[in-house]
Amino acid sequence: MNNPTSGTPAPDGTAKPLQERCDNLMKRIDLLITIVDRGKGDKIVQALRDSRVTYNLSSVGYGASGLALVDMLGLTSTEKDIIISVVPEERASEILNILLYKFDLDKPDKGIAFILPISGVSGPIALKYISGLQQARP
Amino acid sequence: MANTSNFEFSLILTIVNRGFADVVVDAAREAGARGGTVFYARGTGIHEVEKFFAVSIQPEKEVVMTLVRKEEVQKIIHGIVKAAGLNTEGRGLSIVLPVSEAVGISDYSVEE
Repeated sequence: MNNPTSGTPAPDGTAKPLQERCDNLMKRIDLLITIVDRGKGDKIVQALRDSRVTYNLSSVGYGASGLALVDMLGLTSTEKDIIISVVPEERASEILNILLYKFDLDKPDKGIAFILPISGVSGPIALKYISGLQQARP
Repeated sequence: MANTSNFEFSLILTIVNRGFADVVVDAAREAGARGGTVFYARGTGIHEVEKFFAVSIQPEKEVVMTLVRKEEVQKIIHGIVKAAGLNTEGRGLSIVLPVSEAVGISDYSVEE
């Protein structure tokens, strides 16, 4: 992987170690998508915030899973919340597990969560902002 | 206990004209998917803002997210395109995204 920061001096002249700045900028991020029943979205967002995931977008959607017959009879609650979050790659599994155990996602009909890799963002500031690095660093 | 499913998954995102999500979901189901999640969106492509008797029509879209096993992607996307592809009324467009990890897909782990 080529390094976009190697050799460039810090613009503000601060003497941060190059390695630290690279770590900052090169942090890989993933997209976490969680789909749960309508109303549980806020709890998910709260749990994610507690795990220092600060960039969460919540939207509404409709589930279309289950048997077609049950669907036809109108017995399923199809309204869902979709939560889109950005997580650092190295914490993706950990956060997925937190959601799994906190919300019993391993049981049927409790919701799903999955991770999509992100291949690029619109610059280092955007990266810092969506990955929550600015708050996380002491 | 396995935290994540043993299978590798892909996410099929299908964007169709509003009202055609059911066609997509049914086609995906027919081809082996378990279902999907639908949400609403608004298209902003160049062909979208069409004037109809001088009244511009909202380019309303539906997006269907379907999480499927990697081996089944071809089959399911073929079914979707056949039922709601670009040359059908639904004007559907599908993309496949890699999924590095997924939890909560209970159907698969129970079955196998």
